[in-house]
Amino acid sequence: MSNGTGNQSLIAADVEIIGTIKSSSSVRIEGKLDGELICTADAIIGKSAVIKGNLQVNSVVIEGLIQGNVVAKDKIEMKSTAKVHGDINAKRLSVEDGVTFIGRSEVNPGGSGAASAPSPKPEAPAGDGKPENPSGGIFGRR
Amino acid sequence: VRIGKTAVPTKHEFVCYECGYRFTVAGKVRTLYCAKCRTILNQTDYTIDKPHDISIVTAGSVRIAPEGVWSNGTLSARDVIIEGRHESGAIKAFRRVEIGPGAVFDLSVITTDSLVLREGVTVTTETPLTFHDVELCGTFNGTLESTGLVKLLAGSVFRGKLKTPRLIMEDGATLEADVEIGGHHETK
Repeated sequence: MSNGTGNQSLIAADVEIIGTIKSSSSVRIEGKLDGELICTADAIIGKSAVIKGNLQVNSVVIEGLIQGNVVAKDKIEMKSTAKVHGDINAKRLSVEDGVTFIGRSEVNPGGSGAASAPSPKPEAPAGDGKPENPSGGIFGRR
Repeated sequence: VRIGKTAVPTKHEFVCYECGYRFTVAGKVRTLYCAKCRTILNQTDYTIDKPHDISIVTAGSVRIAPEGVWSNGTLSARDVIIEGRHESGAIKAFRRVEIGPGAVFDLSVITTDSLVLREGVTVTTETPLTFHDVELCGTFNGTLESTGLVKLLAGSVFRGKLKTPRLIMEDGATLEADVEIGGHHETK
């Protein structure tokens, strides 16, 4: 079902789909999906959406309920009404206050884990409090 | 006709270090009394910029400057900013503790409502830590449980386990963790 405003497909609130959705254009889901969503473009999971299954998308805005894993090539955006039970994997993540999320998160804007770790910075273990580099720094920056 | 806004003095929040009562005071006062227990409170702001081993109790703030060393004694204040060395002794902040880069500290002896880790600060801990609110601009590796709000600002890195009722995460932050976010266990 197309909404007539472009290439976006719309699954309306009164629609329930059992099976896999594959799309090369953007998708907006307001209804129920019992299965996977594979979308090479962007997806919007609306407030009334309930998804039981995994998502593979380029980027996704989540406002509804997802019970499954979410893999996004680019970005996952969780709005305040979002509820996610499952693991997420993305390059970028933004979370609004009010979100419910239980699962494992792999979000790394720098790519690999080592690339994003600021190695030359002083490290203060909470146990013994001994610094690797106690020599001051740029303070006052927030 | 001139219509202007009435100038309202700035309100300051204080916490009595004797009874723990929170109250606000408009403007500046020469002598600060606790609104509940009537204790005269020390409201001095301190800056530690050399070795220091005498306890400080104040309703104001204490800043351990980069060249400062807190080597012993109890530090009790509304806000504590650590940019230097904290070698031993308990730190209790009624409002918040802010940690700057280059600081030497032991989070396990810090008691506070709100913890701020500034940009450039890296904390690695195996001991699970619990705070009410946490604002992260630096790097945290470990287990953190919050009873309030966790803010991961752009550029911050969190690795480990995170349990919090509320999370705000800015675009550009890194989160590689087992996460439990939900409003089911908020306290206070």
